[in-house]
Amino acid sequence: MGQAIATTTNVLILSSMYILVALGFALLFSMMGLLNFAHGAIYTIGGYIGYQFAVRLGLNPWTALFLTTVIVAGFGAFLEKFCFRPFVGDFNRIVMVSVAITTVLQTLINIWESGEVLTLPPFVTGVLKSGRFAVSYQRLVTFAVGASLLGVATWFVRRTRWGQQMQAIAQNTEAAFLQGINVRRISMIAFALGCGLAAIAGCLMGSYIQLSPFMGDTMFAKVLILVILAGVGSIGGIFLTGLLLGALDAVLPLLMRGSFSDAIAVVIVVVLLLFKPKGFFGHEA
Amino acid sequence: MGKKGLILGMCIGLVFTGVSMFLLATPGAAQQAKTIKIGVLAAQSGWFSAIEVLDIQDLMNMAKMINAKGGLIIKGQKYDVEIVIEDIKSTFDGCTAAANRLVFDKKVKFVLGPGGFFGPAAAPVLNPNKVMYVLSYATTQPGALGAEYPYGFLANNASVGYAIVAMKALKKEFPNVKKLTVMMPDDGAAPYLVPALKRVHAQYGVTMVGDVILYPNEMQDFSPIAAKLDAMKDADAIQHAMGIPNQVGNIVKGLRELGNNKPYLGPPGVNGTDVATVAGAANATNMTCTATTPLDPSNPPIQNELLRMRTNDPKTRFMANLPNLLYILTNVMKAADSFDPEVVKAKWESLDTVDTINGKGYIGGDLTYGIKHHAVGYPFPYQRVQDGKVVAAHWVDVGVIP
Repeated sequence: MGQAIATTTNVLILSSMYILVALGFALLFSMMGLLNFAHGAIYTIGGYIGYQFAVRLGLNPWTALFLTTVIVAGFGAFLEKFCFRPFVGDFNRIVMVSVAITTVLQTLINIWESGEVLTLPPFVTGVLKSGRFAVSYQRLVTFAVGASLLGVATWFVRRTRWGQQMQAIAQNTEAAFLQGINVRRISMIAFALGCGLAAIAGCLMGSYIQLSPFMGDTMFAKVLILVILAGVGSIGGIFLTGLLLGALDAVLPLLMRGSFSDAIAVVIVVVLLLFKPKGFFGHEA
Repeated sequence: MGKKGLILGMCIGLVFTGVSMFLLATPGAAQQAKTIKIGVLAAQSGWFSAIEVLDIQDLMNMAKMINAKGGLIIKGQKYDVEIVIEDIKSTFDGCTAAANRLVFDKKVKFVLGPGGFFGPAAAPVLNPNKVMYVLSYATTQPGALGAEYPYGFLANNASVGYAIVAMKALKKEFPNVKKLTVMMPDDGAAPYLVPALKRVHAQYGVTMVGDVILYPNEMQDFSPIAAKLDAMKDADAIQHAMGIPNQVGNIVKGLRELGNNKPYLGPPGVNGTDVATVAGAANATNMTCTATTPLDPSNPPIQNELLRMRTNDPKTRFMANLPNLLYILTNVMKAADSFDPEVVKAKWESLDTVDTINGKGYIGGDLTYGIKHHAVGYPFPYQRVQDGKVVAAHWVDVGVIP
């Protein structure tokens, strides 16, 4: 019984963690069709910048989170203008630029912080206990922030003018341009938002797990699976696929040994894609 | 300045630079001390670099220290140690390529590393070319150390030696523990390491409960593993046989949040303060860590000297694997009075003890690794960790690794 409760909690927490990290990537990939392989690295620098504010400068973790989000969003706008915009429409070069950004950022962090073990301070402390149920407030905050941001992102994309313009660009860039949409500005806004969301995820995960120059790599693989499974064009769909991936990752390690659980989870995802090639909620393949 | 002038200036600059570099590279252009080149296979990039970057810095300082103290005197001639590092890029392919560069481009005859499970990627290059290599870690997994790898040596307590430290810590700190749950990453070592661990357990009167719990190295959230460990009600304590700080910290955090306060024996090289950083001070408790406490007065003087030589320093993590490898290898070279790998190899195999930076090391590992006198066991400390603080550091003698 105790293990069942712990596992259910783990499913919810893992899911919210994946959803949180996937949001920024999904915003760019699903809405704008931009495959930003550097998302994992942006998530990583988000965590490290948050660390500088929260630990080195001693700011309140929430203030550090806010400042980090603003800075990384600005960095995202810079990347869009100077690194991605010149290659729009050229998939190969976009991938190369993403990989280059990832390598440069990871190497800089590795040299800068060496191998020191770093973690952001917890955003909240304490454990909520009730009978056999026990979960830390920190994990609950991760869940709450993930769920809230998912709601806000869905609302933003569906209800706001900028969000609708993003959808228009994703469907047909030329038509959107002819309708008077400022494609460059909207792309920059999407990039800034995507990177800002990655920074929030990096700070929360850097507090919940640990900072590492390569923390983005593994998480990015999960995010890619999650967003593809949700389907291109769907922000809301990542809620369901996040829950599914969280369930697989929380339950399979209990049933089988180590690495098998990761491999089996990916195989299950591939099988699901055979039946749903456009993902669960995809508008287009 | 006109365009022609600019081009002419650049040409003159290039010619000047080229001539200068040629002159500098020409033997006899400058007075050069004799050197012995020692290759290093270590990760300067990729995920494993997070473990080895600091160790490389300490290794360079160790080389400086050896050279400053007179270098190596071999057959009456003084030699300075020259370290040649090749980045294994934290991949098997990268490790093999780096070994090739060391052997064929840099022409080294001695190599330090690689560590962990990268050994099998380098051994097929190093052995046929009769390059003597000293591994910085081994998990008992075949492929780099054993009868088929005559040029492979191990200058680290490694999994089995550190398990002896963990058992000595267990007996002193938690004498009532009789049954252990064991866990480690699922990197292929378990089938070889678990039998060796069970032999060590038997020597100290403890038994392993259930199967070893394996987790993927890439795992991010270890809560499912914590839930699995918590379900092992028969166990009195948990032994984390191998792992890195984020794994230990997250598992400990998960366990303590579930209300599980069983004694926890941390894996080698993971410092108690690092565990506390990840897990939180309140969670990092009732545990021992097989790790050096930086700048602790009980540490051997060389260790503290190496730490003080660090420039950018975090003083929290100190493994001193690579520096120890260099120290041990150069001591064997001095004993052999030779830089011929065959002679140095034969000398190592004939020795029973060797000086390490941690004190006297004992050469053995015959049963564990299947080759006579190729591994060194040496004293190592453990930390008693309570409420996120290292409350005591004790050195224990590992002795001869079986």
